[in-house]
Amino acid sequence: MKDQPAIKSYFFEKGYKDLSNTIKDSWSSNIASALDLFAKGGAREWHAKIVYFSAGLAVIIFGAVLFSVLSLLHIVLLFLVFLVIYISYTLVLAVDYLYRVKNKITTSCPNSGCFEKNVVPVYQCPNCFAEHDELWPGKFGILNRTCNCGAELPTTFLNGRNKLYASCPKCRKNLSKRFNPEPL
Amino acid sequence: MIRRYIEVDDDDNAGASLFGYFILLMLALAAIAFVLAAFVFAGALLGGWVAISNYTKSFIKNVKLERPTLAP
Repeated sequence: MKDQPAIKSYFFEKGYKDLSNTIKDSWSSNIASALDLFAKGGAREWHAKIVYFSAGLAVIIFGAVLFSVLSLLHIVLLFLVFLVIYISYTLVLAVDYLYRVKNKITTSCPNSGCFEKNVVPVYQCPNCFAEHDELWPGKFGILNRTCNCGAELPTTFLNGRNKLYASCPKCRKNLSKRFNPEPL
Repeated sequence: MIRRYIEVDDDDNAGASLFGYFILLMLALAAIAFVLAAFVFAGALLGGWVAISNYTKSFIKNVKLERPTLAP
């Protein structure tokens, strides 16, 4: 998929970054807590040193065990939620595709000298007129995508994608005579 | 007769004493095991608490269920 003038969906990029950052930060914090306990014990009496050293060691050993359990739980839960999202994404993509195939929906450029036939034309954002040439369910959104300007665009034929202003992917000329917006 | 009685009595005391030492040894070992277990348990509680606390803080800091905002 080419880069689009849209914001990537949480479930296709940021979710994984959040998971990775959470795990990294948590492990760093555990080590910092243990080092802090070792440092606190350093300048004290021998019996206090033993207590602080044991506490630091306990944070490393038991902290690592709990950290592993929590990380695994987080990963499993996240992947279960994401799995549901990906299944929904596949279903939406399949339904949109089957609907277009069943109803034989394609676009043919009416402009002379082009007459290019396409499955999905280039759609323009009604707010900033940015061109979205792959406006279908994907990593930028399943049912809707957010344009860089903040406008929500439908990504399937079923929820109104065909109402957007469209142009030919080859000659970039207007495909519809109904809309002819001029950028402000 | 008296002497024999004393001898028998001494043997009984020796057996009881050995058993007493055994019990004392077992009690001492149990006490050491208990202290060690308490020490490990306290360590597990501390380590567990620190790990859960750090993970929760990290989760709240990093996981934001929103799309990144772009500069205008």
